[in-house]
Amino acid sequence: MNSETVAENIEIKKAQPNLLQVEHVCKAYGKQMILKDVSFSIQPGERVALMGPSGSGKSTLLNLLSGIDRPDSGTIMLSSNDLAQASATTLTHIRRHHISTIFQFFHLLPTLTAAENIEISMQIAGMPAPVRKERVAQLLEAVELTSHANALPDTLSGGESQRIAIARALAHRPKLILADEPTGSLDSKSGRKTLDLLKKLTEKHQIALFLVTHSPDAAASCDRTLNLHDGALV
Amino acid sequence: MELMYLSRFTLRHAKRSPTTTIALVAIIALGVAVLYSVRLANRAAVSGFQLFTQSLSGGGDLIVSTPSGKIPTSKLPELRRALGTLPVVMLPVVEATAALPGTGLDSDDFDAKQITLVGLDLMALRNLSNARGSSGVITLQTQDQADIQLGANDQVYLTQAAAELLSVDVGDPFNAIIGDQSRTLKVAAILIPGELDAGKKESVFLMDLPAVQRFTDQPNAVDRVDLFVPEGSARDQIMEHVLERLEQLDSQQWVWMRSDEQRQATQAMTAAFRMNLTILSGLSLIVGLYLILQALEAAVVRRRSEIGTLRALGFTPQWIQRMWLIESVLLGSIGSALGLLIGWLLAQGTVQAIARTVNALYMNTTATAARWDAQEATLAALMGIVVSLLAGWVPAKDAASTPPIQAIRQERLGTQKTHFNHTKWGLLLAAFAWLAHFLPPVELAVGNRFPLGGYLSALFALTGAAMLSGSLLRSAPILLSPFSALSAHLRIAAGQLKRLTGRHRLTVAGMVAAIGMAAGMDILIHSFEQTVTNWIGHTLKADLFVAVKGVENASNRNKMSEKTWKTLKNDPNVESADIGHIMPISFKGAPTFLVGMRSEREWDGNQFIWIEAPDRKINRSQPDPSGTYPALISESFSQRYALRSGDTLELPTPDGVKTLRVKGLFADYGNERGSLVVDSDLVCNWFNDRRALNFAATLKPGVNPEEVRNQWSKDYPGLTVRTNRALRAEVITIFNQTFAVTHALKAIGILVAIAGLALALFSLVMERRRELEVQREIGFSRRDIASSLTIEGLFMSLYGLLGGLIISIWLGYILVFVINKQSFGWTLAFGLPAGNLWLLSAGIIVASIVTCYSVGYWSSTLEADKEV
Amino acid sequence: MHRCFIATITTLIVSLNAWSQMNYTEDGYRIPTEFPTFTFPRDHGSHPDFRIEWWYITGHLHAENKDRYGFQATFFRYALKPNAAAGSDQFGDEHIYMAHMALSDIDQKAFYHEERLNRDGWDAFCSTERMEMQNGNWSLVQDAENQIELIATIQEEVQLNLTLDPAQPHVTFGENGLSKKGAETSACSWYITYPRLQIVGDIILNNKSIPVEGEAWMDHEISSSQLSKTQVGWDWLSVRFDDQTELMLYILRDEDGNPDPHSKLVWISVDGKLTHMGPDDFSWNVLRRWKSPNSQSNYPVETTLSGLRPDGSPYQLLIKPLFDEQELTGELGGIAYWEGACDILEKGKVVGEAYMELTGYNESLESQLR
Repeated sequence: MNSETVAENIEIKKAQPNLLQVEHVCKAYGKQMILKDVSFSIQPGERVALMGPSGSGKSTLLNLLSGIDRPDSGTIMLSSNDLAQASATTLTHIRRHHISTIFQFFHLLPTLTAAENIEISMQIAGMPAPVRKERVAQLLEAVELTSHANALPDTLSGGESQRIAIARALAHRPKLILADEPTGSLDSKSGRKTLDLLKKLTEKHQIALFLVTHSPDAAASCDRTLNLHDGALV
Repeated sequence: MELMYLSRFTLRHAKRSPTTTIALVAIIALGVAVLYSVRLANRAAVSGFQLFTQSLSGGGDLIVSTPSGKIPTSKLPELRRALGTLPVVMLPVVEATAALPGTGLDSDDFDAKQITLVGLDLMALRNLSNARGSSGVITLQTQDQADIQLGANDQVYLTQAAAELLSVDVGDPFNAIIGDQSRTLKVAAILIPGELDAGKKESVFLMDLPAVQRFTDQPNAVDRVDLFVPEGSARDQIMEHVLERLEQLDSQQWVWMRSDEQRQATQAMTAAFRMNLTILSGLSLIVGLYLILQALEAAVVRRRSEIGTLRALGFTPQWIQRMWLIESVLLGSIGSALGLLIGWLLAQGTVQAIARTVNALYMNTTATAARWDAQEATLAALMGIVVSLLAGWVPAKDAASTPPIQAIRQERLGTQKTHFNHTKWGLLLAAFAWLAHFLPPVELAVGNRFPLGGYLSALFALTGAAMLSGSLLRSAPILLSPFSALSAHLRIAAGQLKRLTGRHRLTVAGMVAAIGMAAGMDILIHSFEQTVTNWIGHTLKADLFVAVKGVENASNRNKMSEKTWKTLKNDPNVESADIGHIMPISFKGAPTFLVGMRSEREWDGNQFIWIEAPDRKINRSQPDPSGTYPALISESFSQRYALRSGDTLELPTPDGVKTLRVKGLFADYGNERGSLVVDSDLVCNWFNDRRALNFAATLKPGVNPEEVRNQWSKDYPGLTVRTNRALRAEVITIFNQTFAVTHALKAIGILVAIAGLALALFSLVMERRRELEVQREIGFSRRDIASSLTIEGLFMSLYGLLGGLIISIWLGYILVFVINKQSFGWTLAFGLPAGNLWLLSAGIIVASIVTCYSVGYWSSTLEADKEV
Repeated sequence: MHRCFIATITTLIVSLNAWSQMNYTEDGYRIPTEFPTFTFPRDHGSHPDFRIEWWYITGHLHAENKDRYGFQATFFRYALKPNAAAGSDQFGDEHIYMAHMALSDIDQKAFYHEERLNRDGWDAFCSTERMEMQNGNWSLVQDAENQIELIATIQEEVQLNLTLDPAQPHVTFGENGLSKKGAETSACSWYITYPRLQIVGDIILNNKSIPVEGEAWMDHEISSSQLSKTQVGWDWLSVRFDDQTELMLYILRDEDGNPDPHSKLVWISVDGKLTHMGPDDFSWNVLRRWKSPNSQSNYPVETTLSGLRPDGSPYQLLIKPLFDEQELTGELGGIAYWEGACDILEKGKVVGEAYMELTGYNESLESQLR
C-alpha cells in the first residue's frame, strides 16, 4: 500500500474532521532520511498505536507531533494549525491547550509535589485557581493517588509517578495525548494498570491518544496500529 | 586509549558545542585574568618605588644622611674621618624636583609632570670608575669630555626617558620649574642607557652639585652621601670594616643604611598600603578559584550521562577520572593562557589607579604600565590549571563513583544533606569577628602599624555572614510559597528554592562577601569625605593659597625662596599671611613632617580641630627653663610615635638635638605621616632654611582674590596660586585619587557578585535540562522559563544584597574605627552613604535580573538528550 | 717635571692661554720670580694664588725578605680662578685636586695604580700652613719634626702607610731660585725638593701586611704655566746614588724629538751643593723601547746617560727599568704616561736607585699637548 492510497482511504472513512492530519512528512538528519513521506490522521478520541523497530523513526515522528522538531517537508495539521510552520508562540499555545506528553521516565518536576506537578500545567495554561484546585483533586482521585498529593516525585514508585504524569497530561483537558513508551520502565503489573488507566480516562474525556510502543499488549489496547519501518508507514 | 578518548569525546564535544567550550575557557581565563592583573598591578606599583630609589642612589652601596634629612657640608669631613683610610668613594647627593610647566596660567597644574633633579659632584663622579670599573657608573660620557662645565647653572644631563619625555636633543634649551623659579636649562648630554640603573625608564635630570644647591637655596648642605666600596676580592672585608666604622657614628647625628635596605625601608613605609593590595590579590585568587570551580563543575554536570554510559561499558571510575583530569588540564591551560593575556591588559588600567594612590599618599612612582612578569604569570597559570584540575576532579570523582544508572538518569546533584552546620559556624565566626576587632595593631616598622585585628574581624565577619546567609536562604520558599498559586513561575521558583543545593548557598555567600566589601568601602570613603570636608572648612580659611608647582605630590622637594614669600607678604593687597615652613624629616627612623607655624598666630581653635587643646598662653619661640620647646602634634603623629600631651621628645636637627614637649594634639587629614608643629622661627633657625613650602594669604576687605591670583600667577610662573574655592576642589581631587584603588576593589566586588550568580545559574540549568524540557512540554514558553529562573536568581541576589548590606555596616565600622585609625591614625566620623548604597542595590538588582533572564532565555532551548 | 696633568686639566676645563706680563699671567695668576724668600713649614703648603702646584714622591721600598717595591704618590692642585685664596661659599669652584697613586711589585712584576679627581671642598684640600693635604682617603701630612706621613690605598688591593724622614735638607732648583722651563716669562716654577727621604712603614698588599724600609725623592713645584708651545713631552729622572749624592734630570722635547735648550741636569753633592748643567753637557741615548699594549705609546724605557761630573770625571750610566709594565693608563685624565722604578748601573754594577718619568709618547696625545 502506498501512502497516497492510505491518505485517500482515511479521508473516505472519516465522517467528522480529523483532529490531527499528517501529510507527506519527510525528515532527514544530514544525509540520512529518517521519515519518508509519512501521512496519516487521527480523529478526536481515537487511540492510535505506533509500532516499529528501534531506529525506524518513532521518536522523530513523536518529536514532530509535539512540535519540538519540525519536518523538512509536508504538513502536520492540528486544530487548524500547521505545526510544521507554526511560530514558537503558537507551538507554546498548542502545548498549553491541545496536547500533552507522557514519557517513559515520567519527567515529573522534581521540586514540585505530586499535586503541584498536576497543577502546574493548568497554571501555565492560565486556568483560575479554584478550578485548578478542584481538578487536581478529581485527577488525584481518578489515578487513585489522593493520599500522595503532597509527596515529592523522588518518594513515588515508578507506577505512581507515571500515574501522576498521566494526571498531569489530562489536567488541562488536551485534545491529544502523545505517549512515548509510557510502560517502558515499569514492571508488567504496573504497566498493565497504567494502560488501563490511560484507556479509561481517554475514553471518558474523549481525548485522542497517540501511543508509541514496542509492546503488542499496549498496541492492542488501542483502536488501531500504525507500523513504521525504515521511516515509512507500512 | 586515552588519546582515542580525548579525540573522540573531548574534542568532539568542543566541536559540537563551540559556544559552551568557549564560555568554559573564557571563565577560566577570567579567573586567571583577575588574579594576574591585580598581582601585576601590585607589582608595578611596588616596582615603581624600586625604580625610584635605584635611580636616585645610582648604585651606591651605602647611604648616609642625618635624621633631619640634611647634612651641612661642614659635617662631611667628619664622615671621612670616621671611615679612616678605608678605600670608599663618597658621593654627596642633593635631590630636588623639577616640574615641567603646564599649558598656561589658568591650567590646573596639579598633574604637572614631576621629574627628579639629582645634584652630584660631576667631577668626583669620575672616581667611581675606581670603585666600579666601567659598569653601572655614571661616567657622563659625552661626545667631548671638554663639555662638562663645572658648576654651570644651566647644563643638565638627561636620562633617555627624560629626553624622550621632553623630546629634546643635545644642545636644546627647555624650561623647568625648580624651587619657585622657572629656569631655562640646556641639554648637556643624554646619558647612555645603563649609566643610570633605571635610565631607560626613569626620567631624571642630573646637574652639577653646586647648581642644584643654589637652586634649592641650600649652598652648604646636601641631602645624603652615597658610599661606594670598590669591587674586588677584598670588597666584603672592606664592607665589614665600613659597617663597623659607621656603627660607631653618633646615631643622634647620623643615619645610614645599605642601599638595598633603603629599598626595604621605602617598602616598609608603604607596607600597610601594599598589604591592602596583597589582600586584594588574595581576594582575586578566591574569586578566580570560585569562578573556575563553578565553570568546570558545570561542564561535568553536562556530561554525567556520558560518564554513566562509560561506567556501564565497564570503564573503571579511576580511568574516567583520569580522562577528566587530562581534559581539565587541557581546558585549564588554554583558559590560563588566554587569562594571562586578558589579565595583562586589565593590569594596564588597574595599575594607573594604584599608581595614583601611591603618588598621592607616598611618593612619585613612575609605574604607569604593568610589565609582563614571568613569576606572576606562572603563579596565575598554575592557579588556573590546578584549580581546573581540582574543579574537574571533585565532580568527576563524584560522577564516576555513582552507579551508572543514576548517572544516566541525571539525578540532581548536591541535594545530599551535609553534616556541616552552616548556622552554627556562621554564628561562631560572627563572635570571632567581634572579638578580633579589639586586637591591637601589629608594629611593622617604626611608625608603621598593620591593623591585623581589623582585617581578621573583617574576614571573620564576611565568612560568617556568607555562611549565615546560606542558612537564611531557607526562608525564601516560605516567603514565596503563599504566592505560588498566583503564577506558575513563582511556583517553579519556590520549588527550586525549597530544595537548595550547595551551589545556591555558595552563590549567595559569594554575593554577600562581594557586596559587603563594596558597600563597606563606600561607607569608609563616605565617612572620610564627610570628615575631610568638615576639616577643610575648618582649616582652609585664607583667600589665596600659594605653593610651588607640583607641591601636592608627596615626593616633591621644591620650595619657595624667602625673597619670594616676603615679596608676596608685603603685597599691598595682603592683610595677613601664614607661611608654611615644612620640613620632611626622619624621626626614629620613620619619615614625618616638621611644621613651622608663625608666632603671631594664636594656637587656637580657629586653625586647628583640637583633640587635646593646648594652653593658649605659651611662649612658643623660647624654651622653658629646662630647655624644652613647646610643640603640637597631629593625631597621626601621636598614633605613630605613641605620644600624648605632656610627653617630651628628642628631635635631631642640623642645629643639634632639641627637646620638645607636646602641648596639644590636633586632627589632621592632610597626610598620614603625621606632623610636628613648632614655632616657625625655630624651624628656620634649626634648619638654616627660610624657604617655605606654601603660603596662605588673607586679603584686605574688598580685594578680589581672582585679580590678585591672576597677577601673582603672571609674576611668578613657578608658583601655583589658588583661590580658596579652587584649593578646596583640589583637596577633594587629591582625596579621590587617594581612594582610586578602593574603587577598583569595589568594581571587582560587583563584577564577581554578578559573574558568580550567572555561573551558578548556568550550572543549575545544565543540571535541570530535563526539567526544562518537561516544562516546555507542558506549555512553558522561553519567556516563562526565563521568568521562573529570574525569580529564583533574583531571590538569591536579594538575600545576597541584604546580607551584604548588613555586613557592610560592620565592615564600614571596622574600616573607619579600626583599620583606618590604626594604619593612618585618623579619627573619622562614621557616615552612611545612603545614595550610593541605594544605587549599588539598584545596580545589583538590575544586573541580576538581566543576567538571570538572559541565562534562562538561553537555557530554555536546551535539549535534555543532546549535549550542548 | 711630571706634569702630564696640566694637559689633563686643560682638556677638561679651558684652554691655557698664559701670555705673561710682569708677575702675573694674563688671566691673573702669579708667576714665580727669582730670589724667592721661603718660610717653612708654610711654603711646604699650598700657594693658591698660583695656578698649578704639585707634591710628587717616588721611592724604592725593601721588605725584610729582600722583596723590592717601587711607589709613586702624587698630589696636584689646579686653581680654577685667580685669587682663589680669597675663599668662596660655593662648593668646589676654586681648586681641583688630582692625585695619582702607584705601587710596583718588582718581583711579581705587578703594577697597581689609581687616579683621583676631586674638587676643593670637604673631601679634598691643601693647607696653606704646612704640607697637609687630603684627597679622599689619601693624605700626606708633614709634622713639626719634618716627618712626612703618607697614607693611601690603591683600589681595594693596596694600602700604603709610610713615614718619610728627610735624610738631607730640601734644595731649591734653578738659577736664583727660579726653575725655567721655556722661553716665555711664565714658563717657570719654584722647585723645592727633598732629594733623600728615609722611609719606614708598611704596605698591605692583598690582605698581607709587609714591613718595609727604603728611600724616596720628593718634589714640590709651584707655577702658573709650565709648558712652552713648542714642547711636546718630557723625560724626567731622579737618582739617589749609593755614595749619598743625587742627580735630577729633565729633558723637554720639541716636535722633532730634540731637547729644548731649557732642559736641565742637576747634581746634588753630599753637602747639598747644586750643579746645574744644560742639554749640551750630557747625552741621552735610547737603548730599548717598550710599546704599551694599552696606549700604544712607544716608551724609551732603557737608556744611557753620559757626560762629565761636576768634578770633571766622565760617567756613563745605564738606566734600567726594574720591569717594563709601569704605565699609568690615565683613566680619569685621559693621558697615559710611564713612571717607573729603575736601577742605575755603571760599568755593570748597580750604583743607585732611580725613578724615571716618560710623557708625550703617544701620537695623538702629542697633538693634544701642543
